[in-house]
Amino acid sequence: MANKLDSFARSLEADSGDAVSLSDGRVASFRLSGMTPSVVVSPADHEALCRVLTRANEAGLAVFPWGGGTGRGTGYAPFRYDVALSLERMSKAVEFLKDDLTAVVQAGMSVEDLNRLTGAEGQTAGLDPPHPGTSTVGGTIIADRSGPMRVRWGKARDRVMRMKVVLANGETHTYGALVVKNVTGYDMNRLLSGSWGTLAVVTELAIRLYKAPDRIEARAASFSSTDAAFKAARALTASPLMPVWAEVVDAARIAALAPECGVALPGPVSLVASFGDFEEGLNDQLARFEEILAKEGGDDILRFDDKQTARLGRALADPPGGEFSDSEALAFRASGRLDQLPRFAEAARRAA
Amino acid sequence: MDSAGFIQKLTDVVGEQFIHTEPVALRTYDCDALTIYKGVPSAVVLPESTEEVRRIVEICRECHVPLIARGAGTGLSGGATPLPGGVLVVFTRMNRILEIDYENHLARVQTGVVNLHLTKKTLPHGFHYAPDPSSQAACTIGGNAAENAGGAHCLKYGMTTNHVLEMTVVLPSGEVVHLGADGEDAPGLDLRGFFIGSEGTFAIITELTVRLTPNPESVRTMLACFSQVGDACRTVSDVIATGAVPAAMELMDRYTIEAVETVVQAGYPRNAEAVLLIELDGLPSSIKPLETLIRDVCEKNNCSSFRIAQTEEERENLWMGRKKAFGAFGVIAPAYYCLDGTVPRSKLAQVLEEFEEISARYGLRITNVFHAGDGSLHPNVLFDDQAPGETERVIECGAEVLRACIRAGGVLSGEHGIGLEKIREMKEQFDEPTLGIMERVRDAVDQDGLMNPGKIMPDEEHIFPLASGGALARMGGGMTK
Ligand SMILES: Cc1cc2nc3c(=O)[nH]c(=O)nc-3n(C[C@H](O)[C@H](O)[C@H](O)COP(=O)(O)OP(=O)(O)OC[C@H]3O[C@@H](n4cnc5c(N)ncnc54)[C@H](O)[C@@H]3O)c2cc1C
Repeated sequence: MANKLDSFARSLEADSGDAVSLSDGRVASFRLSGMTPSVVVSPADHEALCRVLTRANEAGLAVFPWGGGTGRGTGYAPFRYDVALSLERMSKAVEFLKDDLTAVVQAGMSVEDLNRLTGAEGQTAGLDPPHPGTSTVGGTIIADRSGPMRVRWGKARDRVMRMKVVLANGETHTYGALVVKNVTGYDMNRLLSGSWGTLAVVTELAIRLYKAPDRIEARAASFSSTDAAFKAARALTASPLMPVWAEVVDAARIAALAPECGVALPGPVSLVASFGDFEEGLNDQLARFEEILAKEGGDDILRFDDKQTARLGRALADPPGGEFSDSEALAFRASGRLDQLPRFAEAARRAA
Repeated sequence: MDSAGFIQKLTDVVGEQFIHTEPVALRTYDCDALTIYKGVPSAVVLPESTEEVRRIVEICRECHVPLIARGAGTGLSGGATPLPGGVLVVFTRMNRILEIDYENHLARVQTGVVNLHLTKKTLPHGFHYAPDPSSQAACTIGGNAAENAGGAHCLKYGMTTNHVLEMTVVLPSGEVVHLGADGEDAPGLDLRGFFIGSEGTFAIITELTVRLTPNPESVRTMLACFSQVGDACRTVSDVIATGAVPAAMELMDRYTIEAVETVVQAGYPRNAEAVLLIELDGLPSSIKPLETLIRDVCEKNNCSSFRIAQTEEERENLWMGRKKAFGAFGVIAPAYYCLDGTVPRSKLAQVLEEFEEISARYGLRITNVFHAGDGSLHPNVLFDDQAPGETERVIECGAEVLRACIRAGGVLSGEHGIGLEKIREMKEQFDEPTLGIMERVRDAVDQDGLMNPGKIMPDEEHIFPLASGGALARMGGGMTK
């Protein structure tokens, strides 16, 4: 093993010099399910990353692509884990084609940086994975990690127009193009979105953008049970309103949210939804949502301004517990037909 | 097994009534809506259930006979055109809507359900099936999934892949598997998404769970006319740049207007060089500001007139022009060849100019009627399919059009698929390694080349004859790269 690693490290240094940094001092921060890699490698660009994979392949080393590390609690432990391949040095914007509503970025860019880039032009990628400051754009897409805004903008994988990837043997492929509609050949981007780094390493992505709504505001109401709140949520989805996000939040989560974002939702169970639009449309949607809430038996209707709504939206996208930590908590994600969700929520509560 | 034994086995599965082997019957299935290539199957079978499809696949697998799935045969890239001698599986009988769940906004259908039938059925309940290819009165939901079909309204609502939650498919091994899930977050690889758009080369789809979309509360349809095509194209990219997402934005050029007005009188001004048909939908309060915004953009780009349909009748008339456009080409030429290259929306004006040059060079008229908001072009090369050698020239002209799209940073196909039509150009779109991996992935799913061979991937082995009787071996020599 040590031999393999040595020859890997030596050949890379010869190939790439500074374009690849190797470190064994940082391995502890790249632990995964109790396993520690032998070395952390961070290439500076696509070509250097190709060389890393080529050399690792030659040496027979197991490589783990690493974005922000926020998904490391998901899935089984790897069988082998020799090299942590970090995309931290590949975090730049490549091209921002604002008139085509397209941002081309390196995979290691954080979602927050992407939001900042596009937000400056009033555009949004509609991506809200947990921990956007740490989550990378590449990781979010490869894990298909959608947040609450999925109801408005669709799944993370729907954002991909083009991906540049490197296979395990170091070969570079480009899938897709800077177009919004494309059925040319097999949809490799979809195969990769959700592959969790098991098929290829993505180095660059073209992301489809939308105009960000002029203003976003939320309303919430309290319900006596999860069932009642879900029923109101279904009434919302059956209406022509277009929420940016819509969440049912239980008492424990309400209690945890307040200190995180300074917004107190009405309990025991809340239905809270936000809407984004031009002035007239926004007021109309908010008023109609309030009517739905009242009709479905919601009490204590609360109104949140745009700043509170932004903080709330962010907190809701993060899993309970706030900042990402190696805590012992177990998180489940489940999805199914809308009318089955209360049953799942109830079962989870009882299991806990 | 001899051929009689093979046919008998298939007959045992579907019953005598639902298998065709007589030459006359077989010839009616020898191509899809791209009629310039033909292939006669050895048998046509019409199963009625997943189980029958599974048994058909097993028999074909045992006998090494390829299978070709066919929905309504409205495909425009030759996807359902049989490899000569293969077994064509036709889904006319698998047309049952199995479940409609309004509470959860979804429907479960057999693959052969006609797209528009689902919409008609759910419309009175406040829902519709959003993907709306212009062929929606005939094409099937399974065929849409196999092509990842789009339509005029996919600018706002997305392609078929955004509306299919789950699919039951029969793999070449004969196994029946379910891809995707009823809910939003199926764990693991998105095989559902990967199989959608694979044009029947991976598996046969038998059932689908699709999303139902609530009907919009209001719809506004407008027509902007221009005396320069370039101005209309710039209007499209300017509207996109404002971030407004119309439900649809369709462009028709002078030749299309002329053909349409001759046939249906949709009310498009004959002296315009281009018209844009723009539709907004949603809450009245949400779309009102967009209406003003779009009008401003049209005026800034010198539109000669701008009008909003005031009545439902006027609105339907405006759309009728668009929907009848293809049929209307019949009045200006005996045949047309429709391509569907797609480009970044900022490149529309530039590629249309290139199409003009190509048209002049070949002496063939090219008309344009397309989903402009998506950059999804439909250049139609008009020609006389009876004139000797003309078909071959049209194919070459089409290849030039596709090359212009690739040069503009675009792609060969935005919605019609590669089929057998564009497989030669795949080598111009993708480099060797990328094509290589697509091939390996396909072979991983279909080791024995049982499912619709000769489609999507460049292939020297499987040749489809030209209908004109010409001997152009499309995949053989003459490769451009
Ligand atoms: C006038 C006209 C307008 C059109 N407008 C549009 C448009 O606006 N947008 C658009 O996207 N397309 C359009 N098309 C193209 C065509 O209608 C679509 O591609 C449609 O999805 C094909 O559906 P179909 O049922 O006719 O499939 P077919 O043509 O029968 O088959 C298409 C492909 O799907 C495969 N297939 C069919 N069923 C199955 C199955 N059950 N399992 C596996 N594979 C299967 C076939 O093998 C073939 O490769 C148009 C065509 C015409 C003629």
